[in-house]
Amino acid sequence: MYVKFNEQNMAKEVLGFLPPGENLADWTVCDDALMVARRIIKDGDTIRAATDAECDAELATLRVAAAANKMRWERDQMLVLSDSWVLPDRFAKFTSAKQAEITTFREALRNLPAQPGFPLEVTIPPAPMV
Amino acid sequence: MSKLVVDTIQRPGGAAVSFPIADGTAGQFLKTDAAGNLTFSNSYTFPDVPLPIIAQEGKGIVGSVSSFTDRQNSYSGGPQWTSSGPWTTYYNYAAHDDNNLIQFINMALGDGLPQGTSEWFIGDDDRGSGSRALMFAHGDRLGYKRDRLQWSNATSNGGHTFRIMPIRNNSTSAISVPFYARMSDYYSSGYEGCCMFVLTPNTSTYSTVTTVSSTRLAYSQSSGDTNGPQAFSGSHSIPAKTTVLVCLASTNSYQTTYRFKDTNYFYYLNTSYTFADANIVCDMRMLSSLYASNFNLPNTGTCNGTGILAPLWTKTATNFGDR
Repeated sequence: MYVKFNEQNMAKEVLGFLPPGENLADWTVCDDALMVARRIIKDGDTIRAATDAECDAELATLRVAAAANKMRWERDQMLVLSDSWVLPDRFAKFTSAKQAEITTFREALRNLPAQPGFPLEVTIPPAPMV
Repeated sequence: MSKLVVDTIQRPGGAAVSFPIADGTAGQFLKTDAAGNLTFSNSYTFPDVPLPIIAQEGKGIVGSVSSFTDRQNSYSGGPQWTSSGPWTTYYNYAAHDDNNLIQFINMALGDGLPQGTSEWFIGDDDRGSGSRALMFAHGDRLGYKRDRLQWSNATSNGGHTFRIMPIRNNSTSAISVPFYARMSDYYSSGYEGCCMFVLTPNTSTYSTVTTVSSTRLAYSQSSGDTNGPQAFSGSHSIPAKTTVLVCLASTNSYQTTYRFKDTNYFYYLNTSYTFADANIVCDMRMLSSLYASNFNLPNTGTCNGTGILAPLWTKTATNFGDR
């Protein structure tokens, strides 16, 4: 079988044989028995099945990255939804207390990634009643 | 009470018919022998004939059933497909393997939780779509490549597409058959990716299948090119007189807000089905069954090498005829 590896030396594509148009030089030829592996890694000159611990470590890293991505998107949505509050003509009509509340809320949103538990344990700031 | 005692009656100008002497049993009807003699007889019961098959086999027709979910498998926050999957953790790049296979099959057949009692149909909950779509090749490709607008913006993958193509070896010896597919292979949180695999029964006759084994032919654990699907290829030796199921499990690629690319198709079908060779055909009985049968599979269970998926073959024997 034929394998392409990513920058972390982990298999990203695994084929039983090469389809027409593929360049053999782009692929690493591996033992067919590795097809059943949960993850294939290149360990120096050795190509082997990753251990469960190695798989789980990668999974944990990916989950954190995916959670961060999702959390940032949700944060961005909340910022977009509150953008109209800070348009000068509208903002000027709020009481100074409400203005402070809005400013604090949006600042807390922007600082969300700085929270110690980000992205898995995040405290979403309460939205002001407008 | 008066009664009319006759042994034969006849309309003017008509044929005479004679009645039986003894009464029949409850529920019997009078039946003629076309010679004027009536007897009591049971009502006719139609035999349990096989259902109509969707198309004639061996005419170069190639089809598949497919379904999809618009939920990413890491989506959480409601009674829907979560990272735990309909049963337990689901890895799309290893859909062939325990504990993923029963979840793949159930979702491919349109309901990821067929024994569920909630209002949610886990698997095919895209707005406006139906479950278990039947699709045929017009040339050497089978499936689709499309842009999708999702019901909700997701920041990574936006769901999966599942496809099953039944292929039969009618010869008396095993034949190695190549398969080619293109699939979107988005891989973000470690659960996605894509794979192509084959389900093979332990015997050639539908009705006697007791276990099914699963073999992965190709797969990806890569975020890949979000604008273009990856090509996958692998071959499988199909036993003599046997029907196997070739399956694709792909992950939609995130493009931009609400927009995803969903690629899931077989190509180079002319190499899989060397159309001049009548021995390798798309199994129309199995295709009809995959589209129509109620397999009543369980929500959970390890499938590789067990009997859980045997009904895919045995129900086909019951519903569309054994072979």
